[in-house]
Amino acid sequence: MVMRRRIAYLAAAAFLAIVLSACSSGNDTIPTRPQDGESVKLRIMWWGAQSRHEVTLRALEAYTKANPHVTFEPEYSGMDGYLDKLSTQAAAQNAPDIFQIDPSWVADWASRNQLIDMTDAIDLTNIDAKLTSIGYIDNKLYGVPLGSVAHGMIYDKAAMEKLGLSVPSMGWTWDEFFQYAVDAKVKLGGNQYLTKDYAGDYFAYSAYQYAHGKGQLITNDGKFNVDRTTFLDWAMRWQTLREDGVIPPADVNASDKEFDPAADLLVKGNILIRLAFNSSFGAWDSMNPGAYALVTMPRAEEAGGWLKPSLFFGISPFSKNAEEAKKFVNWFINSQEAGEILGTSRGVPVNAKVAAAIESSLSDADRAGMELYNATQKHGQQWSPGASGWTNWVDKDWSLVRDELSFGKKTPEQAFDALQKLAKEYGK
Amino acid sequence: MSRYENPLIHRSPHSKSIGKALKRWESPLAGYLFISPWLLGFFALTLYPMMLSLYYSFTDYTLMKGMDWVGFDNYKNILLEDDKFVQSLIVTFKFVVVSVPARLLAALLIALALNKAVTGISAYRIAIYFPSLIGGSIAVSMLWETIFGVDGWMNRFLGVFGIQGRGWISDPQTALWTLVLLTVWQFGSAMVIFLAGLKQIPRELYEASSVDGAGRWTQSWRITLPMLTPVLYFNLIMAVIGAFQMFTAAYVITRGGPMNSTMVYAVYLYERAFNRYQMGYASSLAWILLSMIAVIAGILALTSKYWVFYETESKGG
Repeated sequence: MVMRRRIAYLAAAAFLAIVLSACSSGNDTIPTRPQDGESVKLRIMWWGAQSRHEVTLRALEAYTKANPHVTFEPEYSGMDGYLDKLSTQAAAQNAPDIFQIDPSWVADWASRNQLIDMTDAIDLTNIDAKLTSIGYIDNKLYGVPLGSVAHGMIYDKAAMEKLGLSVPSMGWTWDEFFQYAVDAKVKLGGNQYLTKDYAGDYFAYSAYQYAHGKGQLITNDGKFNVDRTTFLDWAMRWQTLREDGVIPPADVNASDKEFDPAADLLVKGNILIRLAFNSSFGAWDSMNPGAYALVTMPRAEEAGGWLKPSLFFGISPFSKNAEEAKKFVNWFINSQEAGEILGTSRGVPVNAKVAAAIESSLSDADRAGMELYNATQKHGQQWSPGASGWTNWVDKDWSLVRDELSFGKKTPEQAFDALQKLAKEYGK
Repeated sequence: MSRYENPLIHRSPHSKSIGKALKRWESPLAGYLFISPWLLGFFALTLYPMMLSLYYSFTDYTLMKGMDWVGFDNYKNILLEDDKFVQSLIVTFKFVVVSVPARLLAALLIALALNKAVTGISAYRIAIYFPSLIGGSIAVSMLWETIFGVDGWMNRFLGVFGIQGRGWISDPQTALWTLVLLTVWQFGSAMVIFLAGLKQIPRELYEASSVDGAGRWTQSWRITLPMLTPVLYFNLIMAVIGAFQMFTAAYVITRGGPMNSTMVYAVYLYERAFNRYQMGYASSLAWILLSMIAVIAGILALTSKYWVFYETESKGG
């Protein structure tokens, strides 16, 4: 009997041991700080369209070839869900060594202690100080700009020419834009429209308010600055278009997903013009080669479009290989080799020498992007990342108002009041 | 004494010589050792995080920033001032009230249809159960977009009959119902339990009642349904709990939109936690959800004695 009981205990113990060891497998490597030259693996994460993924992967390969001790574990995706994923990883102190961030996140992330100081490792000699200023907080460099982009519009040149429409020209105005929408509708089919319902679009309205000389929607010190008169004028113009059936019905409008070949209204041919960054031109061009062209953001008294640093790289404070990560980031923006591979996939290279060196080797798509860039550079608005802490207002609250306007659930006045009221939650 | 004796408790003359108290303590020890992996899992992965979130719910805890004790402030703000909380509750209740009965009805009807001795019946059962295995996945959520999108299969199908469809997913009037449909389609696990319940009903009851002249309708109503109520009760509780926590489809397909029409509770909670990093606030939301589910499950449990019928009772009454 005693024997049997012993066997029972033994069995239980063995069983427990097996289960526990099964649970713990995979945790057997103890991370140590590698010495210089010792092989390291860097995790790197970014978002973008397929064209950006391809060149970035090629750049990583090239770096590994030149520095065989550094290999990469890339994680890449579209924009959808990227920030959620990154935030979750960061909260668990498990963010990738190097990750791409939007300029508007830099201040927020630095204040959360999720970025390290890279001042000593990055060579900024050939980089415009306007681009790097956002990366600096308290004289420490927390984010490294990867490119500079122009905000404008993309249009379906092929379709317009086929329909006998005149194509928009650089430097056109908002009045021309709205008139164009009405004129074009006559020649367009039942489910075709000139453009989306942009009434509640944060970026489109930003451009309109800029063009009318009323500045940013949120001031740099965090004050609500949507100009009531300008907003109502804007929203009323869209309401007229909506009532006349010149822009897509609300359910079609809400189904739009940028860059999704099955849901992007421009790619599907439902609309002919949409807002675009010049750096994304290649992504659209690859889905419908040769069809598209770029034009400046419409203007009024002032220009509507702006140049801005497109994206930044940051390095996680929990990175075990921060030194190697910094070296890589420095290479990424300053070496001509990287510049040649990456082209304008993240905008015009920030390093002026690299940008000049690769100009001759640009593809047609990149060249089109450069044209918009140069046109916007002449009269562009001064872009600012704005106050930190407003991301949710831009992302969620505006989306709600966009839908409410487009589905006709709110009048322009109510939409303005809602935005003002929601802003109170964020204002400091 | 029970007929099934614990094999680890030995009632031999030898063991009597050992102190009874010791034996009582010692014997279950092996049992606890056997279940210790699950106990560990429960304490480390369930109870500990739960207690932590209870603590967070009384703090102003912004992810990657500091944490301050604020007492009941989060709860007060949620219950008294948060319009979006109210809206997400309305959406969630709409979803629960429609999706749960629809899902159970679908599961029951299909279980009845499959409760037949036909050749190849298991193949049918597998085929019909299959959607439930994949239904909660991201891939199916993407599929739903292709079916119910503006240019989706649904609208092309309707187009054949000259009916002008709409963007089912992008229209606030229909978006939630496409999600309900997705949930109903995942009736499999409830169906399997109903099937097992149906098999438990003794044949004799049907035979006896047909001798007494009961038709099929009377049999269904007087025998099948009452005999199934324990299983129905179980399925109902599980479905209600699941429906209140619905997240994946609303997050992947519609992101809570359009116009917050699919902003179910869990999606709102996620927004607070992972878009705005307000972990304290989100934890309070989680505990309010838990309490709500507990109250509703409690109400179901209390009312169950009026409508759930156990076989053992029938012998007495």
